[in-house]
Amino acid sequence: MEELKPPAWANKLLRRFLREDLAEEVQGDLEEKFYADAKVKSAFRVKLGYWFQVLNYLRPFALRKKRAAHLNQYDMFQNYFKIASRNLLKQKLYSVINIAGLTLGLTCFMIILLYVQHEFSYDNFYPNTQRIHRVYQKQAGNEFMGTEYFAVTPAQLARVMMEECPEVTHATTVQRTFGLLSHNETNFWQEGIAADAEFFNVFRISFQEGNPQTALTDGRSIVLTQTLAQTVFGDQDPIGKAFRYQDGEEDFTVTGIIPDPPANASFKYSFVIHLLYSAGYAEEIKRTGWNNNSYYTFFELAEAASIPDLENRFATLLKKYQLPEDYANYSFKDQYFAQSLTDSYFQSGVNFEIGQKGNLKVIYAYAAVALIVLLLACVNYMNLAVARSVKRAREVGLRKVVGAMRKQLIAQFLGESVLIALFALVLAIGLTYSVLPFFAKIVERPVEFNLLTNAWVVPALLALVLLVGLLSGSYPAFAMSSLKPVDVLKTKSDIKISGFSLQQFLIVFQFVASIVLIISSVVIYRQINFMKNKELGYDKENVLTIWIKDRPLREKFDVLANEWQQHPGVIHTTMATSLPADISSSTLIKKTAADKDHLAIYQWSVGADFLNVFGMELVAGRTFSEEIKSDVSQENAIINETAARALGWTAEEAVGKQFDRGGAITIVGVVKDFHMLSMHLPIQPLMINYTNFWGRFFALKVKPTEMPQTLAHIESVFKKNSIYPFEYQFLSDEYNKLYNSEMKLGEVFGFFTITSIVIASLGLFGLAAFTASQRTKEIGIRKVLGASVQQVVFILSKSFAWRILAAFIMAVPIGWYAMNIWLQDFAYRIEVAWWIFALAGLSAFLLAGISIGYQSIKASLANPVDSLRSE
Amino acid sequence: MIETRLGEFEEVILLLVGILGEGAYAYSISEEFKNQTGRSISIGATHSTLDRLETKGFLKSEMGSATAERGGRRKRIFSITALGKRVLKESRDFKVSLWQQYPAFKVNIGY
Repeated sequence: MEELKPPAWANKLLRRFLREDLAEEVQGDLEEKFYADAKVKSAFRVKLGYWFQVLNYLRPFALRKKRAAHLNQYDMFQNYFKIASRNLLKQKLYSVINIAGLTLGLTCFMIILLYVQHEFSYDNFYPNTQRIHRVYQKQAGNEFMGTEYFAVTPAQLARVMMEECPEVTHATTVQRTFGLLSHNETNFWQEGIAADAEFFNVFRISFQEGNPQTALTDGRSIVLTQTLAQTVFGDQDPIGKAFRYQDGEEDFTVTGIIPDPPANASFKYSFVIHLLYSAGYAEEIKRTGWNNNSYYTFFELAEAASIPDLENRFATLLKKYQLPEDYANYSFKDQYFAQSLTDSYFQSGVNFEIGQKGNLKVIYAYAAVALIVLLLACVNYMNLAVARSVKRAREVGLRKVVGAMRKQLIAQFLGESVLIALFALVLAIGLTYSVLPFFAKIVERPVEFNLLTNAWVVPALLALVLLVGLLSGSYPAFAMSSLKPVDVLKTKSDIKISGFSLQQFLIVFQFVASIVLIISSVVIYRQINFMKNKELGYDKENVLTIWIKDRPLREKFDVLANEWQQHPGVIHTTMATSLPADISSSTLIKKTAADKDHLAIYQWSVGADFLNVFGMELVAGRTFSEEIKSDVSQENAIINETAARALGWTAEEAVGKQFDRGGAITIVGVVKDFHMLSMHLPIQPLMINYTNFWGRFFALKVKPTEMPQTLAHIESVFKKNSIYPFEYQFLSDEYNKLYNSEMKLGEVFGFFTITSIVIASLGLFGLAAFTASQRTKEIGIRKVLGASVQQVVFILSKSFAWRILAAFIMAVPIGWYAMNIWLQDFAYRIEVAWWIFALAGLSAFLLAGISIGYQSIKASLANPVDSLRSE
Repeated sequence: MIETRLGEFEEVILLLVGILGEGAYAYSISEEFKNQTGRSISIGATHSTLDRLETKGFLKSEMGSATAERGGRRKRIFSITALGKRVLKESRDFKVSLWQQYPAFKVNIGY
């Protein structure tokens, strides 16, 4: 048998850390134990025991002492820390200004960093995220809502792609669906996804229960998210349970449970059912032609397949499947494109998108502003450090005399500023943590304070702090280290160091940034106000709207309207296919059937009383009536003034004329133009039809007084007729929602503007204090010689005033240019008036005045005796 | 107030050194500790305590003779100093006095 020996690695380790004078006895003891144990225990246990004993010698008394414990550098470093902390404490005002400024800057930066990180994380949680793509199309000539691109595709596309495109491994057809899910007499209003059986092959969601391959086999299966399953079934096993959907006759069976879509899913849902639930889809897929663009197509791209190849293939597919009989009268040329899921999150300008969208422009704007604020804070630091360092000139001189080298001094000053930046970072992390929830509310994104989701965030922050420290400490470090000890030490008064021109430049820069931000904020705020208060052509106040989720209820509109109007609070009622603020349906018409040219026209169907409910004005003709048969059969239409113009008539001429929409339509009235789209888009041609059963909204004009009673009445009538939950919105709120992104932008800009102004003012305040203290003697002499307080204040403020004026002159064109670009997005916009610039300039002056004024007045009120007495 | 500056574990180790006499070194003390208390203890922990007791002046040590089972390495033999003995005695007296003031057990103390 081989002789058992102590593990060599353990001995190696022991020799590495053990004090040399203990080596003999310890090794002896351990070996003795080892051989004693070896007689009674298994080899493995003996070796393990030896390791245990070795590791147990990792105790302070037995460890080797570090050799370098007492080198000179340590004392020197200690001295650096001591001097740095003394300097910080000695000049508390500057320290506070510095650290507060940096903290604010870093906080802004971190908030935006977390926000950007969140925005770029959308849909990144599928195991095959990189391969998931969607199809969208361009219909050249079919401009709708300002764009020719559409996110919708034909129902057959997914199947054809899987059969005929080698670039595609799986493709699925998807639609949004919502309705009442009923189980045992309990009803849940839910929004979900309707998709074909391939859905879970493209979106590879791991099932908690059930099998993704078989979960969506027919039109009667439903997959629930965990939360929905929990609310409906509690602890019971949901698999195999039955549901009714949208008041249908047949049961749906639960075939699977999936986790809830995470916060960064661009489209969210609480269940997935098979598309075949809808009769429309079942009919549509039986056809071969492609003329129904109502579905979304997502697919998984094959490994190493190329998008351009696939897009070329789309062109041939279109030729093959767009049947001549469907497209005889179709004047647009369709073109299909593929785009990755993550890219499509940032895609703007596509109609009928399925999910939430991010806006790269906004992200860039935020990032730019956050960087500017951070830069302002760095500038502050630099400015104040230059100013303060004058006080430390003697320290530098002395260090040089006793042998400090230039690079050591540079390292000292840089190290100091890096440390301060690090301190500010710690504070900023705390501040970010407490401010982030408010910010998340403003941008309406669930941004979380999580620095660890991405491995690069923490190193990036540390690198940033290093950069900020080096950047802001660089100028003082190099300027100070170049001082000549003789100059510094021989003169009694404080030395002047060069760098004043840099300081001036930095202050100008700070104020340019601040003034531009003020201008932007004011313009954004004014534009939002303009849009909210513009004369719309209809009255959005006191109109209550109910989105009709309960479809059969539409046919009972007359009953409901009757009952509602019995309450004096309800003045008028009507039904409409969309709200007047956002009419988003369009069709094509021709002036005569023989004409070749189409006119794209927006389409809106409303009940008889719509003019009164929405407060619109008829300029010619008459409104609809349920008594007139041709109104009810939609052979008559009311158009808006823009449509009349587009057809070549004045409002009066138009009445009685006809146009062609697959059949002749007679114009019975012309309504005054109203803003039927958001202010981003100009008013478009519009035709209005009559309907008494086909609407998506009920709209009620109510009296502003005694609103609670009126609401209670409306609700009780609704409840009597429907099992659906009663929900309502005021038209004015719906209107404001159109400008949500602008309002968010405005709030974020306001926030940044205030921060940057605070930082710039802090800097100026500190600098003014410094200048005043530098000139105490001069002021004293001036006062002795007869200068008045006002004169002294004037002298002290003059130079600052010039710089702010320079900043203003530079900021005006920048702000004007940037805001004009932003305003280009609006068809109806404010003028960037001169007074906005005046206001921005004036407020900058005012703030600077307060910052400087306090210090100047303090300095000029001081008794000259105090400042001149000591020398 | 009697200041023994002696922890419970230290006291046991000190006593074991006394018991083992000439044969008191880190390994043998650890073994004896295990035999007497039934608790096993690493040699390192014992050694660290011995080192501490030596610093406090309760123990002294010298390198002993080499033996074959240790690969010819010498042992460090520990022995109690006069101060150590006095501290042990003080510690015992202190505890006995405490025991005697404790009414429920007063009768049973056999010293």
